[in-house]
Amino acid sequence: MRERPLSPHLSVYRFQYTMLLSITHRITGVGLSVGLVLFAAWLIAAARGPESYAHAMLVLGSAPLRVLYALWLLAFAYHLANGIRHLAWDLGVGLEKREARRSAWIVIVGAIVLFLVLAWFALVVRGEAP
Amino acid sequence: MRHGVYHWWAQRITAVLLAPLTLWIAFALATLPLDDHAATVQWIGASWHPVAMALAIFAVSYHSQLGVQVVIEDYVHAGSLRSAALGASLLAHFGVAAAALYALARIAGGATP
Repeated sequence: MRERPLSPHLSVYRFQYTMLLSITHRITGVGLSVGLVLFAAWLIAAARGPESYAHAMLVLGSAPLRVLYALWLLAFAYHLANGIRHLAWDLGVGLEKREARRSAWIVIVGAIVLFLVLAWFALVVRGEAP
Repeated sequence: MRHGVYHWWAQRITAVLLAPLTLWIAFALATLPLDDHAATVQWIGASWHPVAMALAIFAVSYHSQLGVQVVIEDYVHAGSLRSAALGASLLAHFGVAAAALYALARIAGGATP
């Protein structure tokens, strides 16, 4: 069979920064999918009892993973904010070019605010500053 | 309903469910004393938490599987490799969901030592 052109054929479009939000939605989505494994590991460790849990937390609470949690938190905040933007588009809201550019900035600011609020709860309120 | 339409709907319905559920879990993970096993298990098993958590695990696994499927379909073009990747993703998602739900059931049922 002859090779047919397959999407996504990105090279035909002029670059616009809204594209960056689109690809970031994918990248953060895949990253969060990987994070699910750790969430499941945490639940399993908790179900196995205090000793298994304490043992697992040595790994789950280790410094390299804490760095990853910060990245996951940022990915989550972004994916949630941009996901709401996608749901609005599905309702036919905000599809004009100018509106899409404006909502892009709302998503970026909203994601950073959500990230900072959750990080503040985790590190300052709970008192686990590294 | 055509398959593509179903996929589209499932992705959005799970998204709507996940917006509040994941915010709830994220806030819990940010505020719980996670080093304290008793407190952690008590929170997971408290009143309606296991039901909401089960719904979240189901919705997030489904949403994630659908999303990864689209990414594979867009970037992996070779037929056999694509099928293998799709199958592996489906199995991994089923596995993670099953393990998480089993652990949750044990905690909620008080089977945790």
